[in-house]
Amino acid sequence: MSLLRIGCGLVVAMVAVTSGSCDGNPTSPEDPKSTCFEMPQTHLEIINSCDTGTSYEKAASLPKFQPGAALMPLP
Amino acid sequence: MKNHIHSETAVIRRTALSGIDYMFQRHKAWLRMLGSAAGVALMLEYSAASAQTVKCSALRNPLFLAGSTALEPLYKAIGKSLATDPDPQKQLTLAYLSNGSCAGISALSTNQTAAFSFIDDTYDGTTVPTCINDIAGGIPLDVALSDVAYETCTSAPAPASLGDYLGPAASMLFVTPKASSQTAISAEEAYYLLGFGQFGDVQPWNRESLVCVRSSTSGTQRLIAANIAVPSTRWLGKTNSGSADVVTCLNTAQTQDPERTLGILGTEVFSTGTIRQTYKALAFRGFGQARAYLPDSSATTQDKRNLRDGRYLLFGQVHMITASSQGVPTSARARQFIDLVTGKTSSSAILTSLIRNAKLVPSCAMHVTRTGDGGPLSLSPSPTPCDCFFELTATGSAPASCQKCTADTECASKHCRNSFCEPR
Repeated sequence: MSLLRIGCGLVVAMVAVTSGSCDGNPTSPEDPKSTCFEMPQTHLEIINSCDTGTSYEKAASLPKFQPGAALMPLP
Repeated sequence: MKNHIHSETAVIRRTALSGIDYMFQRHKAWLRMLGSAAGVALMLEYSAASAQTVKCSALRNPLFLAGSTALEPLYKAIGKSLATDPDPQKQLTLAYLSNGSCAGISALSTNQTAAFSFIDDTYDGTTVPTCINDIAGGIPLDVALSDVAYETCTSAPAPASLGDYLGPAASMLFVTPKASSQTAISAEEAYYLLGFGQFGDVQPWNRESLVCVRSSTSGTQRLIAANIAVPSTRWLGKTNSGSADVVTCLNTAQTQDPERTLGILGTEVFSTGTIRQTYKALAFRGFGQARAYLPDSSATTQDKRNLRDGRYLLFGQVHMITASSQGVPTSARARQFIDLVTGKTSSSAILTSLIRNAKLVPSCAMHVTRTGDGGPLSLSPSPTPCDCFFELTATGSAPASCQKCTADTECASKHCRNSFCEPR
């Protein structure tokens, strides 16, 4: 997990797809639901909480952005 | 019969106050009830004229509002209920300017001279009439309604003389034509798309003229901006002054290239009319999220489950800003309206209107809250939950786990709220 400070001064943590689990421990990256939290408490756990609905894989393909790297400053 | 007598009394009173044009408008409603051919003919003859000549000074118990264009469905949803409250002392006429969240907040400090749209007891669910602003010196606003906080608009804290009351949650959407193959957008993509324009090289949205955005004063734009780290003043794309203009922009853009077309809308607007037939919402993956989510648990339901649980991040609570003293709105009419929208005095009927017509999520159905626009989420279970009622109203069916009831005694350790056993 790495910390990223973004434009509005908000510090967020960039969670790699494999870094969480339903109990907060790292698990297999093959199961997307394994990255979720059953009993969320913190902001990061809430936004990655487990659910039974539809969710979408969204791997951004951005020439100007490397996953885990800081965002380029706005022009 | 009682209502009819009351209605006729109101006709007489208002005719005396407002002149012949208002009389024709009242007669229009009366003739409609008769259903005669002559009545219909007269109704049509005077319809246009009466709607254009009602004076704002003649509105009964008016509450003057301004702000978010995305919240007009809220006014429409509850306006008629307020105008026809069984208690005449509580009957309000909502009169509003849809001028954008931050423009609404700015308008609190100056009297308004524009014509107001209004919803009274004659509102038929279609066209909203306007009143001529005939009040010398203009009309002071009672309440500003905004998708974002006062501070987000002004970059300064609200003065002590104003109160900011939080209402139901509203979600914002990135939308594309149904013909597009796209299903989701990430915060990083939105950052480069809206912050760098075509130079961000975000596929497939690499033509700024096909990216329909709002202006920097729009609450919809500011709320999304707070979640993608691009200040609303720095957005690139085709600017539009209101939600309806965004739809027009989308309609034009999609004829050119549906795959590259993108826009932003409030869920309330997205859900009105035929917009859903042509466009679809994109799932959003925020900073720090592993997956992208729609506000709802799937594209075919409207349960707002991801929004309510905090997995869909493009949401905020409706802000109602008004003159306040010691935490209480100083205007009795403003207090009545705010208490209703915040749920303090809501009935099941009003909750139904908020959920079904305005597409909002009342606080009683939310499980999270956030500190400021785009701020971190925290768990915030409602002390008086209404999850079962919400899902029944929003989707047409309650989850199988929901138990119907008529009294607490039927709910074991739970409480009977809005006809369902709820945990608190």
